[in-house]
Amino acid sequence: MSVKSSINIFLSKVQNLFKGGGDLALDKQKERGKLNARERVSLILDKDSFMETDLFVEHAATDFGMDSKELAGDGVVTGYGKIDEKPIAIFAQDFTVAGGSLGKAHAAKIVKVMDGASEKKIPLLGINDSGGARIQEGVDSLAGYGEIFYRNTTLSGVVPQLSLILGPCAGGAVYSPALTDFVFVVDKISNMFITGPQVIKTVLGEDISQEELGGAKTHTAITGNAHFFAESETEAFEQIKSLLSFLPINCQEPPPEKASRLPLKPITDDIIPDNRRNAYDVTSVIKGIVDGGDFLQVHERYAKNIVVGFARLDGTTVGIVANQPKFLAGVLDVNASDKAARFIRFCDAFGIRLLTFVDTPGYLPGVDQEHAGVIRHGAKLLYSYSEARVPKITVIMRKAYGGAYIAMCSRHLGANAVIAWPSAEIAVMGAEGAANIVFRKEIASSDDPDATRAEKVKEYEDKFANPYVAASKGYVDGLTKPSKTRETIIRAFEFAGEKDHGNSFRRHGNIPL
Amino acid sequence: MSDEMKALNIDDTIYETIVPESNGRKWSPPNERLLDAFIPGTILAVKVEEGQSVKKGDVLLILDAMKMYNEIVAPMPAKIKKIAVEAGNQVVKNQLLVELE
Repeated sequence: MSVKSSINIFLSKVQNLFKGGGDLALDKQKERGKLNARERVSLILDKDSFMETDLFVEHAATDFGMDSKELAGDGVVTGYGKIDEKPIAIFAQDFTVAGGSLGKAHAAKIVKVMDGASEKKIPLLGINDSGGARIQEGVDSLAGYGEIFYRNTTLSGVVPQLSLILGPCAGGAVYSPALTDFVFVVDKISNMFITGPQVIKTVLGEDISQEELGGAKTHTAITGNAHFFAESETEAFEQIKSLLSFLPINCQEPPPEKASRLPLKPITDDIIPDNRRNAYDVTSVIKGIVDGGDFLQVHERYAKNIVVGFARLDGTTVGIVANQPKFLAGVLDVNASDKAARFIRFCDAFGIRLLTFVDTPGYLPGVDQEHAGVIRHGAKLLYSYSEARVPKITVIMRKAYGGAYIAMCSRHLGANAVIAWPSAEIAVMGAEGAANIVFRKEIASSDDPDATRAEKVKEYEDKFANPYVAASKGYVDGLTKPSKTRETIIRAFEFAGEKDHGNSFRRHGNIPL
Repeated sequence: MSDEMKALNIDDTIYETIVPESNGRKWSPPNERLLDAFIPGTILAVKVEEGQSVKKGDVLLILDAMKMYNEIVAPMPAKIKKIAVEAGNQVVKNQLLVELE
């Protein structure tokens, strides 16, 4: 055969394989309002940066008529590329090929790029669009999932792992995204569940739509399984690029540096309301402090009483955790603790310093919370802050009461510096509650209990509802005005070092889960 | 979810804030004389009749769920007041099965 004709054969093979499941299947994918695997890869990666691996891989299954089936790339596109000039390993399941079902060869392709990500120490992006296990391949398919989960776990904390759900992701398949750091979902396209609506209907008689059970809104607002919600696939691509712009490529590299920028709307001294019972939006405080007001929230729709996300301060990435008085008065509860703890641990794993804003009345009271295990879940927050070695700066804006004062990265949990605003109230509990306990007898025996109570509340407030008691003991390092906060924090970080817990003999700690 | 500000009491201080609907479910003490399905499934067999007296541990129903035949037993000696299901019924979680006197 001439060289020319061998090249022609090669080119026609590639052309064929690029069609995935064929024109009909590609049209069907389009009708569903979805892009196909190759479009996704080329839209998310920098132009012409994709280096594909294993395009010619074929399955070796023979049972149930599989021997006569040709599956292009075995239903997954894999390789390496660049996003904003930074390298990334990528796989995109191709729903047009046998429903993106996962067989042995399909899994082996994914495993190969995961191993590549591990060797080169670069982030991993998985695009999930698959009907699930390839039943015809039986236990080989399960083995494939297991190999992927194992690598998700060993890669955890080494390189950032992102999952983008762009279609069904059901049964065991959900656990690969669940093991990664960030999950992106798109409205009316993403679906994740262990058992689908049909099984639930036949077994349990419960009627629920796919969207309600495991759609994008459900997973971002109710379950917390997903971190980012997008209206369209292209919006999700932008979110991924935005997130990656804050992250280092692995745990040994520093986060990317950019030029320092002032916030667009710097905060003023009247940022929080005079009445401590009134709410405000803590994101306006954050945006008024960080570079360019540029703040990327993680888990924006979940546990809204705490806000977490990435920003830059003087050009360098910072992970922000803040109580949100606008929702539930900014209390800590089961979900807020989980949300914050997971975020803190991500930041610590990747050397991203932590900035905490405190304004919380404490833990949410109620049977519901107690029975949901608020003790165990709340403990995660204490654990993750204490464990974090990265520089930690805390700003107490207003209320820091009780256990929540300790939990929100107090000096006692290893904050490098705690800075308070003059409006800070650092106390064992709020004045009303404290007065009712401390002065119970005086109030009960008074001729005018209400007047006595008001008097005692005032007395307690004057004495304890301020930052000076804590500052006099060195629990607060210094005070600053809201309008001076940005420069104070930047300076504090300049002098804040990494901790060495000195227990490298330990295999790992045992965070309460 | 509405963005309406509501009152939230924490340690006797009333805060004005948005309270999402999922919060603040009322809790009521469980009534141990009402036997509920602890898992969704199908009633395979009813072993007792209304009015019958049973000992603690007597099997009242068989609930077929998650590929298992689960025995629903009497938590205490009692008389059966009402049987709310019959064999073949599909039940959801927390559905009333048997009421004891």
